[in-house]
Parts: sequence; structure tokens; C-alpha cells
Amino acid sequence: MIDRASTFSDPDIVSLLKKDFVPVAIDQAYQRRQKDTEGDLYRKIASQSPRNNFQSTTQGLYIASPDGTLLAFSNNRNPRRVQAMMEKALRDFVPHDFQPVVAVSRDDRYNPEPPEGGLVLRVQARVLDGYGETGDRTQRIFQQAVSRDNMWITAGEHNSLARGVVPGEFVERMARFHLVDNTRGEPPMWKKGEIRHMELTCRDGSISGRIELETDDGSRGYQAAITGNYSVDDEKIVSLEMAATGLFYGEGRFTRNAPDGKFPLAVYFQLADGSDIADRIPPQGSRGWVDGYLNP
Amino acid sequence: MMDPMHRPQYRSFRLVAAIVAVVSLQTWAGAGKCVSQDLTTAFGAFDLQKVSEVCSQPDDALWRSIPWNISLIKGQNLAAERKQPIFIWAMDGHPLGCT
Repeated sequence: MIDRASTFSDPDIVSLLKKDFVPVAIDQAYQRRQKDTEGDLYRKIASQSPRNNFQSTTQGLYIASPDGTLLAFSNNRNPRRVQAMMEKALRDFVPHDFQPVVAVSRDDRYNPEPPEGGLVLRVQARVLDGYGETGDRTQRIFQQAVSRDNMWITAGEHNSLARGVVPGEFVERMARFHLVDNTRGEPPMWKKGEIRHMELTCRDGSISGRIELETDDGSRGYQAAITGNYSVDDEKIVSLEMAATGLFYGEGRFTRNAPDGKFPLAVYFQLADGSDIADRIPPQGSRGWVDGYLNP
Repeated sequence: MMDPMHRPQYRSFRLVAAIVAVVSLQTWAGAGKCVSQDLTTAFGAFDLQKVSEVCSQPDDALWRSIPWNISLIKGQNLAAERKQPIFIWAMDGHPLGCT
């Protein structure tokens, strides 16, 4: 989130990316493990950087020639340093004829696709209030952040929802993996036993319900009311939006600096139409365990 | 409708949570801290439109104007065709989603 709102919102960097580079955004935890053509290309590039141990994170910014030659690497996302890195790479880059890489293998473990016949919902969360004043620019970005994730719905759940029947797996997936405060980083997901109450109904185009979550030690929780609407055409859901709002408390290892005490958090769900490249990103909760995500 | 998990201990939990929420709101208001319209909305009549507005990323956000590729192979093919370098943003979790 912080990079989207800082480095990649810098006009000079955006201009350079659009004019002189082919920008690629990837989850390195997948790419470095993939046993296929794409993984081979990624490891070829990353192995020339200091991040050449593929048993641990290779997070960073890489600039490479189309033949896989590394031109620059940095894990510092300060906009001015990134811009300097880009400009140096452009000076070092020698354009000539390059061969396109042909994918001869694909590791399906790391290329999950949305369930066929199912739905994708965009999920965006925001802390509505409760932060103290800050003069720190980074903290300000976090405090105003809107997160972005996707929720996958299976074909069977889609059919049920279109008939006004709410499958338990759908509600549980929504609760455990999407009613999270992911506005400051990767959040802890909820365990099955941390669902204290869940109910959701769909009737005559309206959605309503209530979900309560809390860790056993009481350090993190969320009590949310759910409201929304949907429409069905030819037994298919053609529109759906839904909001969870309520009081959240606590934080995770990578979501520090939450407001003190209980604070209002809203999570908004909307049927994705595929117009946003991010609609194709697998849900965060599915990383490394798609079956566990789809069958919570 | 789902079968709610009606456990006796959570009935009291919910009651306490409701009391805490009301007291928190009154405390904030009483302390002069701004109880925003957003917060009022969150616990008053639900306004889905308002939630959609506050949770939406503006279409004109600069980072959204960048033509990101999410396939390194496709990015490489495009870079070879255009004779341009590839810029790779590699993160723990997908940079365009996840958080």
C-alpha cells in the first residue's frame, strides 16, 4: 500500500514507467518457487542481484533487459532513489533485437485461477476514524489507506446465492479472510474458532447479517453488521455490493500502529467486472493454500 | 439463513460489546474528539453508497494509470517487442492486491 501511495504515485516515476519501461508487478513468494518458464526467468534475473537466495524473500525492485540481464536492483523505495536507479538503467540499456521468451511449462500451484463459473468480488477496507494526529507522512498514508483484495466465490456458491440461499462456506470465507484490517500491511487472518457469530441472509435483492470475530485472548476482534444488495438475471448474479461496518480492535505483526482501542472499520465488497488488472490477483488468504481458502 | 452460532457465552459478549460501543461513542463525543459523520453512519442507518465512496480508490490515482503487467513472461515479450527494459516490482504478497 505504502509503495502505491508514495513511490508509484510520484509523477516522475510514473512518467518514466509509462514511457521507457514495461512495468511488471508480481508476488515474489510465488515467482521464486515456480518450477516453470516464468520462474526460471525470474530466478535468472534475481540471481544477479544481492537477493539471490531463493529460500527467503527476494522482495525488491528489479530492472532487466529483455534477455534477462539485470540492469539495476534496489529494495529502497524512496522515490528519488528509485528515479535515479531507473535513469541509470536507461543509460546502461542497449536496445537491440531480443527474442521473446516462450512459456513451455506452467506451474499451476502458483498460478491459481478464479473458480470457473464463480464470481470475483473486489474487497476494499478503510479505517474510518480513531487515529491520532501525526506529522509523519508515511503514517498519514497508512491512516488514509484503502486496501485492495479479491474474494473468490465458487460456482456452487454463485448458484446458491442467485437462488437466495447463503452457503456457510461463503460466509465463513468472507469472515475469516476478508473481514480483516489490511490497511497497514499483511493482516493476520481469522482462525475457524475465532468466529463467534455469523449470520447472513439474501432475500429479494437485499443482503443483511452480522458477523463477530475475536481471538481467544481477546486482543483482536471485529463486530460487523453487513448490508448490501444484489440482482440476478437468468440465474446469474449480475450485480452485488455489500458493506461490513463495525468496531475493530487490535493489530497484527505486520499491521502495527492501529488506532488505540476500538475503531470503526468498513469493508466494501463489489462484483468485479474484470476492467481492473487487480481483479485477476488471487485473494491474499489463498496464498499457498487455495483449497483451504475455498473450503474454509 | 445460516445457522448462527448461538453460544451462551457470546450472548453476554455481544451485550458487553454493544455497551462498550455506545460508551465509546459517548466518551469520544464528550471528550470533544470529532465523532465523524462516517462513524455515525457506521452505526446509524447504513449508507452503502457512503461506504462505497470512502472505500473506493480514485480512478485518477497516479499508480492506477501505470499499465502494469502481472505476467513476467508477457512483460518480457512486450519488452522484447518494444526494445525496452522490464521494471519488476516484486513483493511479499501481490503489489496490486494483498493490502
